[in-house]
Amino acid sequence: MDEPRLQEHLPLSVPVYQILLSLADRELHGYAMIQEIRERTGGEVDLTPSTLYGAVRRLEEDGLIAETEERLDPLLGDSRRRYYRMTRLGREVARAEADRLERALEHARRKGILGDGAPAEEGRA
Amino acid sequence: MTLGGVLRRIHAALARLLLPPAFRARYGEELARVFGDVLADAERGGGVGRMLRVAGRELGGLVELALRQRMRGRHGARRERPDTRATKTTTGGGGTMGRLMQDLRFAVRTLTRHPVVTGVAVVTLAVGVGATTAVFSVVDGVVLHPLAYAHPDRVMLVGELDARGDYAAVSYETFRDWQAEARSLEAITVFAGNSVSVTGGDRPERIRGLFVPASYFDVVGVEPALGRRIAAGEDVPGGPRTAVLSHAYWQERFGGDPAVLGRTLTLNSELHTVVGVMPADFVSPWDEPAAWISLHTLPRTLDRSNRNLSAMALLAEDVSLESAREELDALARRIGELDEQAPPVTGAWISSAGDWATRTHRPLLLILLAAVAMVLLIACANVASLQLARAAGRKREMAIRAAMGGSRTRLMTQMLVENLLLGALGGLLGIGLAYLGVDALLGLRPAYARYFAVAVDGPVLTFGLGVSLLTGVLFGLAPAVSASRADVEGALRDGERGMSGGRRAVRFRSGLVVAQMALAVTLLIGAGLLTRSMAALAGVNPGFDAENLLTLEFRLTGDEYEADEPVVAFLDRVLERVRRIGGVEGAAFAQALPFSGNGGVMPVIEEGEPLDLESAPQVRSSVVSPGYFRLMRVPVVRGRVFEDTDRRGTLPVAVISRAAAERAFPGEDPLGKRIYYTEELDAATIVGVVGDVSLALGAEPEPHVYLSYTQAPTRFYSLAVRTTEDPMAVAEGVRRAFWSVEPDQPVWEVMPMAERIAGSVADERFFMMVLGAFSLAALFLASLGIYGVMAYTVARRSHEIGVRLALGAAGGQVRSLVLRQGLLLVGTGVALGVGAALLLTGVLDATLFGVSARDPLTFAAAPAVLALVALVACYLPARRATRVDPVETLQRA
Repeated sequence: MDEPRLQEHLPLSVPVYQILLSLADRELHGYAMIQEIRERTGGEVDLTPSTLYGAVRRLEEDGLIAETEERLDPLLGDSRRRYYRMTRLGREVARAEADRLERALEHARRKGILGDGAPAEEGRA
Repeated sequence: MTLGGVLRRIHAALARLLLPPAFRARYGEELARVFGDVLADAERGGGVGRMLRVAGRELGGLVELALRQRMRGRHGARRERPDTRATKTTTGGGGTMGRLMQDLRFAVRTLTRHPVVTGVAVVTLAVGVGATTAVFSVVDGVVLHPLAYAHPDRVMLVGELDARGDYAAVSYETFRDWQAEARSLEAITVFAGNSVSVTGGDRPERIRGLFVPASYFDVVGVEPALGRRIAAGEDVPGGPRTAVLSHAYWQERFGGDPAVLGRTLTLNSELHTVVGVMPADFVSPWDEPAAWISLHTLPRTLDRSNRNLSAMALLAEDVSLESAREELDALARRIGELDEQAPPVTGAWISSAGDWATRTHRPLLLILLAAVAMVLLIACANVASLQLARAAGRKREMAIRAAMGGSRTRLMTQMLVENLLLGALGGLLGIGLAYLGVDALLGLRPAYARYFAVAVDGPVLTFGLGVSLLTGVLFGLAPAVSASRADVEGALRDGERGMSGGRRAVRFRSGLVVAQMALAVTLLIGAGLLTRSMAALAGVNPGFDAENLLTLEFRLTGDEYEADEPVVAFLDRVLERVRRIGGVEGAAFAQALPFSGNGGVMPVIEEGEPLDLESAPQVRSSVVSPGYFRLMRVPVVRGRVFEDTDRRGTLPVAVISRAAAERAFPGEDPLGKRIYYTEELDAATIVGVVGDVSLALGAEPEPHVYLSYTQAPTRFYSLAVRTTEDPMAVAEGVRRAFWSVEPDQPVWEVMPMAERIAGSVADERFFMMVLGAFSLAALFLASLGIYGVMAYTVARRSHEIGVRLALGAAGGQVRSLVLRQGLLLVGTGVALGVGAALLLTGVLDATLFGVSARDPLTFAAAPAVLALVALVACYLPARRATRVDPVETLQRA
């Protein structure tokens, strides 16, 4: 996948990034995404349904996620839910964003903002 | 229905309402379901509180989502970044300030889109605000702040109470006693206003002078702007004579020369040194003096027996009027008892100087303020009506804005901002007009400018601004409420033709018109009553012939006129010279000419009767020349009038008026009776009775006693000259006749008698003209109002009219259909207005002359005039109704 195309999608907003993460290793329906994100971030990111579907629409339009099927979630009673999965493009975009975030972290470490407070030694990669 | 169920329904309804169809189709169901899940979760986790919080966040997020999705649709897909803060509804801009700026920009765009309508609204408001501010300007200067003194609320007018309990002026001695003993007064002074001859220039001149001691400046608390005040010692016999000039007189006579200090002026034949000039804004409500002059220049001021001084005092701080009154009362009575010669004193008279100054002006001006407020209300109603009509036409726009996330409060705020902007524009223009308005009002009543400080200053501007903002809110409220009630779906469906909410608007506007009509009728009735009153006054017979009569006044000062003979000689010679002037039919003197405001009073006591001053009838006294009655065409009722044979040394004679005869000698024949006419108890024989003259239009004629100048000459006179043509044509000739006898003798108030009479009703005329102008403005605005509503109604019912016409209705039937509706409005308004007028015109009772405050003719004519004008205003839309093309309206259905 060529770099420029990936860069178009960056930086990702927090809801979009989190949704992609939640779909990294499984398929989920809407409510499950909200739950998974909430649990994983310890409540730090708590999406409302509107925010979720606004992001979902954009992700679908950009081809970063796709609908899989509608099936029942045993935990949620008998209404069929639409499940989503991450696409290959979605995975690449998510990885590109993670890289970007890591680079940002590294800058912070080098300047002593992150870590034990001491400026990093020269040459630490 | 559980809470969860309710919340879910609200969510669903909002989603249906707000979300774009495409989005709703794809994600709507899911969204609703997930919301249900989240709610259930919240209920399990934290109960009702948590549910509501969650629901609140989601509903807010829903609105924002809808907004973003719709904006995406408008501008094409952009990189959208859903906000993590999914609870805030941001419609652009940063917070309240940003929203306000946005509203303002939007308001400007809206107003400029219809420049004509906006212009009409702004001008209407400007006229209303301008007129109100102008009237308030006068009210502020004349009623609220009448005194230009340093401590206006502590300045009092004081005097004595005579045996009858009436106000009596004080003597110099009494003033000195009070000055020494009164503890409740910080300072006290006396003053006397008089005409003063100024000689020594190229022309003898007369000015108005106020004779005062040094303490005057302590009481008013204002020092001269240039130089100094009259000092202690410069106000007692033997002391130097000084004068302080008014700013205006200093400009007029000395050209504003700063070197005026130290110059001398000959006032009343005495040399005075100019020591100061008062500030330009120093005015006095009692008088318009050109100079303040050493008190002892006024002859006989300091005699104990002379009670001709007005007294003014400054209350000590924290002393009430009542406690001062108590102290002065006791003082006055004690001092009065000490002097047995003096007339009895029963107490002290005291009044706030400010109240006294405004007492005649206050009722009139407050009524005018109320009247102009009515005009302002009518103007606001017109603008409110205009805005309502505009709002109706913008229903579609309003509906979209509501769908875009505008809460009802938001919409109302936006409309309010628009109307406040309109109010501010109208207000600014109005304040500009107020300057013109104040000039106009002062032009109609110059006395206000002479005695009071009337200007568009700080407090007045604040008032004007306040009024404009208030009007903005007033007329903006109705359209704002109406617009925010936008029936979204209906408006979006109907498009521009959405008049479905129009009926309520029409009812409200009709209500406005009825109110306008009522207010206009009330004003018209008031103006009508005043007009009839003026007409009645003008028709009053004053008891003499006022046509072609030139009048002037003069005072003989100087030592040469101490004795009587020189006075008589002077008057004889002047009469002779004046009678010879071309265009003069005759001339005569009188001490107190009618409508001059001059003259004294005297008690009528028959010779030999006990000297009971308390119960003796008081009459006006006037010294006249023999030809006076013939000149003035005052009828002789009994006996004879003065002749040339009545001279010094012959039998002293008197002539009395009919009212005096009835008052002093009821049922008797007064001829031959002898009455006292001097303090020395000289007696004169009554030889004739003449007709009464009024001293003021519409007043009861006062009883008069006349004496001949040959036998009892005074020093102050008016000259009356009957002319064949315009009286002012001989004015210069008469002046020169005077100066040919006495070159240094100033004359003043040279004017036709007709002008004096008109001047005496200047207040009433001012009142009538201003109220008349207001009522005409009200009539015009109210007619515009009803025209607007009728035109709107016709436009709204054009479909119905089209149907009627298509079904064969005649043009006349359609016309009368519309006119009937207009008539209903007019009739209701007029009825209400007449009812209000019946209640309100009572306030005019005191000012009306010759017509009752419930005069049937006025109460019938004013509404008739209004109804006629209003019907004409209805006729135009009615006629347009007949021109409706039935085919077109039916097609538009």
